[in-house]
Amino acid sequence: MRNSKWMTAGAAGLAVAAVLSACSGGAKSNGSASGNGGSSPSGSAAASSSASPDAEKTISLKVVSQTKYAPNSVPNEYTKRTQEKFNMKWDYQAIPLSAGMDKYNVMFASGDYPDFIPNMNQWNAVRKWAAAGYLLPIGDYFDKLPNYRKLYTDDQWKMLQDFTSVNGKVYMLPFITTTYDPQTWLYRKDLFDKAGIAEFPKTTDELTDALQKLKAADPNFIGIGVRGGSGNTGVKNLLISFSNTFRVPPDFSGSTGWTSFWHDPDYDNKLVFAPATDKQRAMLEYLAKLYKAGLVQKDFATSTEDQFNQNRQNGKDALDFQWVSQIVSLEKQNEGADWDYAKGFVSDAGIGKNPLMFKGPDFALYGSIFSNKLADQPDKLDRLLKYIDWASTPEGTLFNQMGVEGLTYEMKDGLPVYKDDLDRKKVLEQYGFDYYITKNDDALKTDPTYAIDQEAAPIFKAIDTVLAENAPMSDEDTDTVNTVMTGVWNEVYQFATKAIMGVVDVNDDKVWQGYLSDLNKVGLDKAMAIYQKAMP
Amino acid sequence: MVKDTTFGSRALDTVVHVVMVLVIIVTLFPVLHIVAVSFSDPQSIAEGKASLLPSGFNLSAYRTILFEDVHIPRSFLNSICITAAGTVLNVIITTLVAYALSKKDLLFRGFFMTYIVIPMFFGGGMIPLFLVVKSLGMINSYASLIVPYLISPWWLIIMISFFRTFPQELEEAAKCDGCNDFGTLIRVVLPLSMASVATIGLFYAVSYWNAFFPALMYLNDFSKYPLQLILRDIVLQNSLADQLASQGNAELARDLQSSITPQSVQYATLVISIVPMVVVYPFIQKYFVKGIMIGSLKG
Repeated sequence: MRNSKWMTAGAAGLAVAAVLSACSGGAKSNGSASGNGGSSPSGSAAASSSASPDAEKTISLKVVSQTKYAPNSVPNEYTKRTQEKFNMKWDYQAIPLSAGMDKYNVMFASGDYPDFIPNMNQWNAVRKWAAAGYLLPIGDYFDKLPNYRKLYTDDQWKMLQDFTSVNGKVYMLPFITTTYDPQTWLYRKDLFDKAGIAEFPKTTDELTDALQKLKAADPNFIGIGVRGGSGNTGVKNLLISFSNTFRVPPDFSGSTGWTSFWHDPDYDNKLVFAPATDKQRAMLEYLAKLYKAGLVQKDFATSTEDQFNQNRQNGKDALDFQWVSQIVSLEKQNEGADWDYAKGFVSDAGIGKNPLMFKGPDFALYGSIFSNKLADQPDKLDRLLKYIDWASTPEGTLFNQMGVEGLTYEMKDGLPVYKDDLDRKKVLEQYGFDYYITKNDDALKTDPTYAIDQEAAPIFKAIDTVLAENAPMSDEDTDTVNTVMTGVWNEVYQFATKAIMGVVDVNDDKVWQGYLSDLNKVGLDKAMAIYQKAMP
Repeated sequence: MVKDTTFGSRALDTVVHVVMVLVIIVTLFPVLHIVAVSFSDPQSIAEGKASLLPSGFNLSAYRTILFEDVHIPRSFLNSICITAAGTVLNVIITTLVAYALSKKDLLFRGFFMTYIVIPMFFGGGMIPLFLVVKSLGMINSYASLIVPYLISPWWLIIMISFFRTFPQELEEAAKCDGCNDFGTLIRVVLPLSMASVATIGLFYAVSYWNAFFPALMYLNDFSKYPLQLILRDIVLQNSLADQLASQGNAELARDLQSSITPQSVQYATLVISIVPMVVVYPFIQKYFVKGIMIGSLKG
């Protein structure tokens, strides 16, 4: 009896130890499998790489990618074939998008950061790491990326160097936006017809009338639909809906190049902070009127993304301000609904000028960054640059976006289409392929949103357009602006919410002056002084 | 027992019952809503029809999770393995350490107690912990989720308090019968301490089951991720897309928005994630009520 209990206890201990050691062992073996990546390469690919005169030596790189969807397994076809083609050995790690910056911050702070991050989407973090010396100034190696350079016009190339510079050096290779997909009013044409509205309103007065008619035709109509979300998302999106009309640039935290500090032609090109101008006040006055009449979604400040989608589905939302391309998915989701988009922005008689299109650079501040360690390892860097330059060619973009012909796509009428029941998400999950640097032109033509974007592009490009201005500033000034503007934007959105809901009267000069004074109290004047230095 | 039938007592009973019913409603409402949505058809959910009862009863969300999705079944098994192994090890280590520290004649007892109590108030920080785990070669292994968290000082102190109240006479009797310290613990003390062991076991199990941050930091392969991490990814898709959109990263935001996991699947995953705890709880409930009182009474 005594022995059997001892044996049972011993066996339990051994079993637990075995589980743990097996897990650790598995990790090691998996890690090496991941590292080898091409442990079972196709003969032809291996042969082609060994035939390349540049690829006699295999180089090892640590690559961390924040993919949109979790890959089912790593290594996958994408990592295997890329490694084989360029004779690289990747220690490849895919981390979920929801991991946000937590994992990257720990990696960088502990010194255990990757050689290459192909898809970094936090520009502020890039600035910080670049200033701290973690990143390679990739701009110094542009001469080795001729195909990447060819993707840009001279004007765009200058914008890239302006907008992605930190202390005068470029640290990121941005992805290039290939589609022109403007935000505009999306509306239910069938409901508009039913309410007797023949065409989409062209002025704010006509918009008010149209909203009233919609309300009269259907008491369930919630007014202007607003995409809600956490924090200030609701009010922010509501203000964005009228930013073109009232010629007030929207808040995109600088990621599109727009920060709301700009040289406003309506004020003799003086540098202004848009939400502190009379145009913002006029916009709030108009929205307050709409809200009072029940013509704006009542819970715009607190609603969620799910509620927004529900309102679209159940017909309570007859118009909202979103990207044109959404028309395709909206009609697919509800075949009984006839969605259309406004072919322009509404204008406001009080403003007395045409609406403005605020345009950022043709690239997102989202792209590849490289470790400073590569500066001392030219073999690794050269191979990586070769991969990136190849990825910028039509062959490379097709490979990254669509995968491999016969495996993930096939050619139909000269254009690549996904095979069988595959789609972009499945190809990324199952095989690891996703667009990189830019989308492939031919593949783009098969995208269901392509036609509508092509149709909308000339219409919106014809609207009076202002380009984002760059505001180069020192690290210290950047930190000050980042800190101060959090409070300023909070004040802007709190006031806007209260003004729209009628809690404060924006027509009252005292209230408006109080708001301007509050903005300065939280540091707007400090930020303005910095921007005046940066944008003389 | 004499029943108090005064008006005051009855009024108090009524108030207590009303409050309890309200608390139960508030607690159960979100759970019932989640269950209802998980069994509803996507169109009804999109139109906001599912509330406390399923609208258009439909099992497609569960079919997706169990037969089409790769990550959820795999991460579910991972979570079970991590929770089972972690709980067993934590209970063993906590019991052994607590029993030793409950003995007043243990050499350097004060030093060990201080050493254990310090981390309750001062943490080493994320970066040093990451470096330690890395230097021990545990990155990307399940050991990294268990070894750094083997002892919870809180539950250790509770166990020490319990062992201190254990009748000394029983231990002396065991020693008279020839047991050494270890034998006394295994043969006499533990069989009589199942309430406390089950209680700390449950708490350890719940904390392992719910943990996602260590996995986020230390695991590199999606195939090793626990359920909570996958669940977090699914649930955060909406706000991520929104965040990217608000930063002007329209292309990436649109990609995400076009393929957000349907709400029914999100909620079905939530339901699946609470099932193991709901199943386990009734079996240890009888110990739990006794165990939670451990150390609360002196003498």
